[in-house]
Parts: sequence; C-alpha cells; structure tokens
Amino acid sequence: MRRVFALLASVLVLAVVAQFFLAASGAFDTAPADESFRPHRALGYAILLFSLLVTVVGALARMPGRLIGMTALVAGLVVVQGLIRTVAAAFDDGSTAGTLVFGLHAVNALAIMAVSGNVARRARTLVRSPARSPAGSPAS
Amino acid sequence: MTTGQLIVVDHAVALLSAAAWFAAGAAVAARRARLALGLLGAAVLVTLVRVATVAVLAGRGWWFVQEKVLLGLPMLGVAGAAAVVVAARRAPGVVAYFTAGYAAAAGLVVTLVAGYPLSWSTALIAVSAVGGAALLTARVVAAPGVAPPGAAPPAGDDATGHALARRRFLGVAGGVVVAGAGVTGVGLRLSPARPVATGGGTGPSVTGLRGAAAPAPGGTTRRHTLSARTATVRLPSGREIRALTFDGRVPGPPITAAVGDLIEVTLRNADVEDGVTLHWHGYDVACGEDGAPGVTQAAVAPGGEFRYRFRADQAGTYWYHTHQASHRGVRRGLYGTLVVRAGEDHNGLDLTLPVHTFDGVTVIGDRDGRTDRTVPGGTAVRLRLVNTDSDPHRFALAGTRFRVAAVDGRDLNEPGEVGGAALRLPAGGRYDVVFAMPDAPVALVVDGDRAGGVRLLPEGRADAGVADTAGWPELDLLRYGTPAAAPFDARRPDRRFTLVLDRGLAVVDGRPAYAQTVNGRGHPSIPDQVVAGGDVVRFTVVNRSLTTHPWHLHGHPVLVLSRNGRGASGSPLWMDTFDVRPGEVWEVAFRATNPGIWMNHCHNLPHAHEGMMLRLRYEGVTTPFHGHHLG
Repeated sequence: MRRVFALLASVLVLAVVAQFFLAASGAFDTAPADESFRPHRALGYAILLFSLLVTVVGALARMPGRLIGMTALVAGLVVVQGLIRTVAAAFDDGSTAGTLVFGLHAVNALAIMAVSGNVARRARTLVRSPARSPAGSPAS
Repeated sequence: MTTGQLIVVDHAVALLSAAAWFAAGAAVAARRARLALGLLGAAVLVTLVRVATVAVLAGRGWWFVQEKVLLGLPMLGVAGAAAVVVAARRAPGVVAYFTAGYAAAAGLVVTLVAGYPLSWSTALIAVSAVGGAALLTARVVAAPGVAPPGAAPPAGDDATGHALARRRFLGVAGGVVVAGAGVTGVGLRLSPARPVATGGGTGPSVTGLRGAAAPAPGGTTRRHTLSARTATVRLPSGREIRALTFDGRVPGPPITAAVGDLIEVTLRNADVEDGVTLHWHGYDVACGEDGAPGVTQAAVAPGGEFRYRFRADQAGTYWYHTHQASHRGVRRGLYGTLVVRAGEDHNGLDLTLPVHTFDGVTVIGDRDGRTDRTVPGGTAVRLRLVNTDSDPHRFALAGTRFRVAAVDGRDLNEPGEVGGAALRLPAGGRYDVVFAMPDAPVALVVDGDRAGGVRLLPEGRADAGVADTAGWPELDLLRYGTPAAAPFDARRPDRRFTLVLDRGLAVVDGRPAYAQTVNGRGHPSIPDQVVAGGDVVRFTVVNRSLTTHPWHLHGHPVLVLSRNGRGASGSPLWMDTFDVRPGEVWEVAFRATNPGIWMNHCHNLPHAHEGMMLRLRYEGVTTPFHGHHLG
C-alpha cells in the first residue's frame, strides 16, 4: 500500500509538470483563450481529483499524518489555483489588477510543484527504508 | 450588491469556512492548543457568516440557495456543533474538527458540481463522502505514533481492550452505513431518469412545415447560392485567417430584400468536414427552414446541398449562420447578414456592421483595424450593429446623440435621443442605431478600442481623436422608449417554464462532463418543453453560474417582462437573444404561433456545445431526424 502511495505521489508530480507544459502551450496558442486552455483546465480538474485520491490512499496506507496533510495541502492549493483564476476574471477584462492577481497563478503553481515534489520524495524515502517507519504499523 | 457578486462572496465564505475548520484540525494534530482554540473560534465565526450570506442570497430567489439550505448548511451545522461540544469537553477533537471541514467542503462541492435542483442521490453521496472521510481520519488518528498521547496505550489492559473493540465495531458499522448511503446515491444517479419527452404523436412532420413558394404581390425573388468552403481570407491589415467561409468571403455574402420578397438560398457544402446548415437567426421562418441539424434537417455534408425558401415578411436586421458544430463553424466564419427593408429605399447612409473576433482581432464587416468614411453633414445614418461572436460587445457612439431604433430587428416604440451612453450587445443580438450626421466627426468605438472601430467624417474634416468612452454608463433597454399595450396578457400564461442555468456534472451527448446545464441536465437529456399552438408561454430564466448566458429561442421573439423582479418600463422590448448575466432572473413571454420543434439554447456557442441546449416542441409535431444535434 505504501508503495502504491509512493508511486501515485510520483505520478502526481509528473501531472504537475505536464500542467506547466499545457499552460505554456495554451498561452502561445492563437485560438480563443477558452479553447486553447481547455486541456490545461481539464488536467487541472484531474489533478484536483487525483490529489484527493492520493490523500485517501495515504490515509488507507496509514502514512504519517504529516505526509497525508501535505498531500491534502496539494489539493487545497489546486483549489486556490481555480480561485485565483476566478478572482482575476472578476476584474474587468485586461485591467492591471486582474493581471496582477492572475500572476499569483504561476507563483501558486510553483508551491504546488514544491509540495508535491516533497511528498513524493518523502514517500520514496519511507518505502526504501521501512525500518524508519513507525513500528507496528499493520500492513493492511 | 448584485446577486452575481453575492454568489461569489458566498463561495468565498464557504471556502474560508472549510479552510478554517481544516486549519483548526491541523493545529490540534500538531498539538498547538492555543492556536487550535483561536482557529476554532474563527471557524465558528466564519460558519455563522456563511449562514448570513446564504440568508441574503435566499432573498434573491430559492434557486440560488436550495442545496445550501437543504443540505450544505445542515451538514455543516451538525458537524460544527459536534466539534464545539468536543472542544468544550476538552477532548482532542482532531476528527471532529476535520469532519466539520469535510462538511463545509462538501457543501461547496455540491453547489459547484451538482447545483440546482438538489437530488436525493446528490445528498446521499455527499453525506456518505463526509462520513467516509471522517472514518478515514479516525483511522489515521488512531494509528500508533500519530495519535495524541494516551489515545493508544499498550495492549493487554482489559478496559482499553474493550475500548478498542468498541472502536472497531463503530468503525465497521459506520463504514457499512457510509458505503450503503454512497451506493444508494450512485445507484439513484445511474437508474434510468424519467423518460424525456420525445417526438411521438401523429401530427405534422417538421419537413412539411416549409416557407412560402412565391413572393407577395409586387415582390421579387432573391436567389442566392452559398457555397461553404475552407479558404484563407486576407484582411486589410494584411493578416491572413484560415477561415470557414460562404463563397470564400468573411462574412458570407450579405442577403438583402424588401418586405414581401421571396428569399431562396441554395446551400452547398464544398469541403466543410463538420457539415453545415443555415439558421436564420431571429427570423421567424417556418420550422422546416430553420436549419437546426438533427431536428429540422440533416446537416449538409461535403458534396450535399439544401434549399431554403421563405418570404421576407419582417423588416429589420438579422443574420444567418451555420448551426452544425456552430461553436467552431461560426467562430471561423460561417455567418453573414440578412437585412430586410420596409418600403422605399433609405435615403442616407445605411451600414450593416457585423462584429466578429478572429484570433483575438476585432473584424467589423470585412475589415480589421479602423474604417473611415466621409459622410456629408445632415445625412440620415442608420448603423446596423450585429454581434456574431459568443460574448457580448460594448459599443459607444461618440460625437453625436442617437436613437436605438430597433432591437433584434424589431422597432422600439418612440425611442428617445440619448448621448454619452454605451450599448451592450448580447452575443447574436442586433441594434439599429440612427442619427443625423453632425458637422463633426462621429466615432463608433467597440470594446473601448479607440484606435479601431468606425469613423464617420464630414467632408473636409480630419479626425480629431475620440473622447474616452470607458466611463459611460450602459443604456438600460428595459427602461428606454415609451410603453405600449402588449399583444397578449403575460400575467396569465398557459404554460410556464423555469430554466435554471448553471455548471455541473451532467451527461452531454452520452458522455459525463463538467457541463453547462439547464435545471441540472445537459443536452440531449433536458426534457422538451411542450406547448400547444396559441399558448401564451412564459419563461423564467435564472443564471446561477458566474458567466453570462445569451438566451436564444428559435422561431419566436420573446417579450421582456422583467429583470430581477423589476418590470420593464420602457418600450415593449422584443428580443430573440437576451443576456442573462450572473445572478440575474429574467421573465419573458411569447405567444406560440409558429408550429414546429425549435432549439432553445445559450448563444454562447461553446456553452450550447457543452450541454446548454434544449427543444421547445409543439404538441404532436414530429421529426424524422434522430441525429444528435451538434450545437
């Protein structure tokens, strides 16, 4: 189960990397924003659901609470990504305030990258050195 | 505060309450007692604020709060109260705090994903998800090494043995209840919905509902052949667009006629892979000429053709466009204008200005950039503004006072002269703006772009720049012009339909999607609206979402009765496309006098494609076409 968690956590990191790629390719597309960012948005929803799934798997695997909390934090930050976009869009089109708020989307993306990378690294460490994991944890 | 803003505030407070409860739980888990207490206080406070925002929102209409009042708040109330009780007993409370967080988050997710109307299935799934998350949290908390001190004492003690057994029993029992609720909820969702009204009946088929075959006495026949094909179109700025076109032009050839003429258009498809049709937007043609693929005809495939014929009985500004895969086709150029003039030729300047966006560039007529025209002072000018995009445009006419003579092709009653007011034109809508050319330049500014748009310059006058129109207020057409008697009594309609527009998880064309929904469903699973000939039909259109929905009923203009409960007090306002902005509630009515099966949809065409589309069907009318309608 812990191996599964470590594997899923690595997949989560890859998905976040792919998300950066889609954001960039959407930004340089000439189609209307609605259309060129469709893959980015779809993967965004997918990452949200997936990070929740990884959190649940972490809980089932009885990973340390801190690790589960960090995985849940990834889901929370992904929600914030959507929130930033909504708030930025609420300003009138093209206004400076909206653009500035939207800049946070990239900053928050870096935070998501950092936290999910951290989760994956810690999970791998735990799997490689099971001796260091809390004793007596059942293998359910 | 507008209802739209209130919805955003309510979402924000809901999110904040979930965050506060989670943070309180995390603080307890990290054994930061003082911080936890502070966060608990914040969580309770935000939860109470949430009750207040929902109460205010309830005042704007039950549609906006149903799922919050019946599910979200009760769930959060119970979990939050339990958390407070646990805290009062000085118990550790990690699970209770987190559960309140799950309840708050679940309420928000139900609002965003399921929306209106709330179903038993949604409620069961939500409760089961919160319960499941609580059990999982309890399991993690109980895990050795993580639990607070004293919670996991060494085994062998009899009393703790009992406690463990009891805990295990509670866990299993809770799991069974949670799983049962979840499975029931999912089962209810998957069980066949009540049958959607379909064709049926033995009445006339839409294929028999065709237009007149001859012009009115004195009229002529206007014949056109439009060939749909891909082409690269070069704009005046030199920019090239890879377009889908009628006859290689963007927009397609303008079709003009005088009242009484017969319009006969042969549509051919050279190479448009999606297929193509012609829909006469806002023109009340017979149903068989309506160009709705899968309903009134089959889409015209490459190599195919279809002939449309109807009499030009209504004067005014209209447009035509493909209705097949229209979210792609119209955006890429499959549209043109249809203008029908009453009586004598207009003496003066009569400009038809369809506004379209190609790759982010505004194109007016067939020109990008700015268009200058010399117009002698005193000339009677009519500008026919047509929005062929999927989003609204804001027009400002600087340098003259003007009248809005017609909206969506229909004349207004005694429109007054206005100046310094902007015109917001819904997607698909048209305004006829008239004025006498002054001896000074006049500028038509589109979306605040003062460098572009159209300039009308009196002879010998150079352009002198344009005033800033950004701060101009919007002209409210519901209070413009002079009232007149309505042709029917909308207070006693024969049929009433409510359309609640939102986003949510729904099946669209057989696939689950985060769809644009009407009453929680997506095309083609939205039940048909059935009317009888002669009925006075009333629509209540409610926008629960955070984007504008330009609502468009085929075959009938609707009379606007009210917006947000405030009655229309100006000229009778007939529209075929009206913008329902976030949080708005529109009441409109029409008399059902044009038998057929009619599309009724959002004219933000990507939204229609994502499910926001249904049919209005006259009793007994049938269609031989079963193909699904590709928006």
